[in-house]
Amino acid sequence: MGETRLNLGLGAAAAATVFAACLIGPTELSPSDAAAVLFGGGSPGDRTVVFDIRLPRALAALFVGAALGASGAALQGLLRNPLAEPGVLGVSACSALGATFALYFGFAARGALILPLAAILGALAATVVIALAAVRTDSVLTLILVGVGLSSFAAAVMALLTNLAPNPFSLSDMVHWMLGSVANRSFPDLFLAAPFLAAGLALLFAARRGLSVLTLGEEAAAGLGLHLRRQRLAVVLGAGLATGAAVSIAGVIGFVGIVAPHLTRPLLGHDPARSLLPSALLAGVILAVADIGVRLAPTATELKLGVVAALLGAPVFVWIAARRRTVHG
Amino acid sequence: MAELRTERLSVAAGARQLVRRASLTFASGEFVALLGPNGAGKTSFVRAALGLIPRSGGSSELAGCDTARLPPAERARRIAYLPQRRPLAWPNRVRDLVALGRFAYGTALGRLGPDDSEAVGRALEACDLGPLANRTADTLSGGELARVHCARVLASEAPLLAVDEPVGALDPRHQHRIMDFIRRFVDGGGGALVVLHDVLLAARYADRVCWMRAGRLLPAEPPREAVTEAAIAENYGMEASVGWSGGTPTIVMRRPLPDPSRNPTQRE
Repeated sequence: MGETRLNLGLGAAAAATVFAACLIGPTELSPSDAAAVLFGGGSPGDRTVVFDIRLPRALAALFVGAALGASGAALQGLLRNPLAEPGVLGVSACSALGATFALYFGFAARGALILPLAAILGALAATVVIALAAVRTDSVLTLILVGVGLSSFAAAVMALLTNLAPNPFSLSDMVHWMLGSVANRSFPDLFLAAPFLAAGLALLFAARRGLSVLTLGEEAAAGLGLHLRRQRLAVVLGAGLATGAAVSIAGVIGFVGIVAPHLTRPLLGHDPARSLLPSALLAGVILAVADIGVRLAPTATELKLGVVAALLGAPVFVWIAARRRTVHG
Repeated sequence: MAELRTERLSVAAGARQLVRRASLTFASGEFVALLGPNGAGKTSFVRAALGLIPRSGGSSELAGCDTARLPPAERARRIAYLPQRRPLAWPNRVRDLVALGRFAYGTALGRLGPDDSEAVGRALEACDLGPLANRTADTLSGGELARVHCARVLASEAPLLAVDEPVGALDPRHQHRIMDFIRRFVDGGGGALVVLHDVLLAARYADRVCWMRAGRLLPAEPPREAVTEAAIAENYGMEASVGWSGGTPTIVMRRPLPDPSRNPTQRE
């Protein structure tokens, strides 16, 4: 399938999903009402529903998905294995830990940027650990285990925080960060995270050509003219920034960064570089659709988006892990 | 004319000297084979000569430019490198793998310029990969994969080539085909430095052969002078008989010599 056609198709799907998300909910909006609102018209009530509630929430799901999809695709290319992903590698959990830390020790109250920055710091710390481990070992298993360790550590420290934090700290807050949700997100929330998300994605896209040659291994890639250290730095920084920004919006949402690249890569000759953009778009669409599902599900309390993502994504992860084989060497 | 010149190049890993003051120059139009027992430091020498790993002493220059300071892409356009370990992470198409050889020219997969497409086409043809161009790597045999790696190195169209054990684990026919590709590259004006474990192939294809043992590199000599019974005994600790009929060598490895006559090699 053509790269351009795939990207255009997924872009259209993303736009359609966001538009559909604006229609669906307790207040029924017709497509023409919603279109009127989006193009600057509509009744004040409709405008509130779309701009204060549905549109920011749908865009949050789309952006979070795009950040995780691109980070997953790039990390898979860098680490040369299809199981790498911010959630599995513990990057998201450490990022959530950073965010909770800032919240419950009161740093977050000192400035609006503190929360996203703390989430990004947590994400970067974890990404650096993963990248260092990746330099030392070729083993996929080692990396996944390091990720499991980081996730468990982050969860343990969060549990510890519930005991130590000076502010009263409810279990449900921790659950929010660890399970992930885009409920009640507003445009200001998105604007805060947007610059970091954009910077992270820009770094990943700027470095994507190098991901293609890494299929040959780091030594051959260096021989082909890849600046290895720069490549690692760009992907680690890019994935850290994008994942941190995503977590500051929605908490931990796992597995979407595995599923989306796994679906798009075979369509593009298994090239991690070319599958970066479609992975971002597809992951965005998956999360935006899943969030519509969350809103429609007839449950007493709303399901968490991260729970739905894990319910769908974890089995796929197991499936990929079970049938994985390297091509050669 | 392209030339790689190393002078008294040393490589150390911790306190251990992997390469000791090795000097070698090879240029366009030359096929130089590098022989030596396992652990002699051949791979370390090639890597350091290309500036891929740091050296602890000496110099290495490509046409007068220090390889350790050359930007990676600039170096890659002057000398192509095929490492000993050739893993593949993804089941890419053969044509795409060969196109990766164009990386140093700023080429991105799926967006090949006319120069890139021509170079990739020529490399595919040179390695008889035309019919396999659209296959994926996970469907290829070891011999076919070896040809793919050869083609991606040729696709870079760098004037020089450094190849580390290109024929390991290949059947005789594929071994000779790969050596033929390299020979043709050299006859077409290229220069190649090829690390080999097969003395016969080295004697048969190379213009000059140099021995390396325990980190020390001997001067490169024509095959008839370098590949002798004495050299094989000294470097491999093997009793062998070497004969030449016309331009074709015959080498029979008879038996390992008793240990005391061998100097211990530096590392496995």
